[in-house]
Amino acid sequence: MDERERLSRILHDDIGQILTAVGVQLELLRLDTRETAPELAARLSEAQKLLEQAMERIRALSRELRAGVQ
Amino acid sequence: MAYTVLLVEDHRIVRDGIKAILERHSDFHVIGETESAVDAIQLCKRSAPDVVLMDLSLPGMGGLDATSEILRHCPETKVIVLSMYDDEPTVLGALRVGARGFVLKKASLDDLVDAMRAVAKGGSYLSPQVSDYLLARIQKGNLEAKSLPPALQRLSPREVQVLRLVADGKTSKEIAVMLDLGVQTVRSYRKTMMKKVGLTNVADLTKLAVSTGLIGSPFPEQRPLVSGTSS
Repeated sequence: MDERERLSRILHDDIGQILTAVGVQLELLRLDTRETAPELAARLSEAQKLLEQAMERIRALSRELRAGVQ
Repeated sequence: MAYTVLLVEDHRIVRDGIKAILERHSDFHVIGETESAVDAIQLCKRSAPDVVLMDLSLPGMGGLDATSEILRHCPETKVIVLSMYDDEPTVLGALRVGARGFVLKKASLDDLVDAMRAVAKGGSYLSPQVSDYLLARIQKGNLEAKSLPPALQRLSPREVQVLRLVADGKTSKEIAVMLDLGVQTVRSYRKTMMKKVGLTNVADLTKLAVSTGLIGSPFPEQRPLVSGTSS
């Protein structure tokens, strides 16, 4: 397998899915605390925004690597 | 009554989390979960869920072909595709095979439940990032073919399905198992399909499948309108 393809695969299959799972956990925290601890909402939202930035960079980098393969 | 849901996602941590989110909403009842496309088709044949949440990048048969097969056997079932990517070939590929929703795997997943509700009620749903992007492309007038690309328009849906699997490196025997067909039938589809597209070998077929966006996932071509890159 080409090195760039291998890296793209790692980004997508490993890191991307782990970050998705982190996002799911943050969403669960948001659902579970929205009534009992509404003060957490802003901090959770900030964490989700930072995570989304990381995921968007992973998407862009993976696309870039893949474009080099094709 | 709660909508019945089948989860198809090969990453257990993601699948468990999504299940936990849905369990917090009483209008959904997860009746099954699997990491395999072939199992998903069997489960749908058995229980015809209202909604299938389908990851695109599954090992073996991918989420696109699984969607196509599920809808062939269970036309009442609605499929929502979950994807890490929101590029045009991936989105259009999912919509072409009949997905009613497309949800991007992103940090909040806060639109997942909205998507499930909209689609379960007979509507459709695209994550905002996806609809914004498609709208911009439509307005610029450069959205790729709304139906199949010209090179593939003479193919039947079954031939397109076989093309995608052949291009993905599957043998006729593997395709026969995946699509629940006889090997000879698959060979016949394969022969007719290759004749129609005017190609004689798998390498050229793969090039055609990639260039027409037929196999865009999980490693799509670079999207021309990418705004952010790593720096």
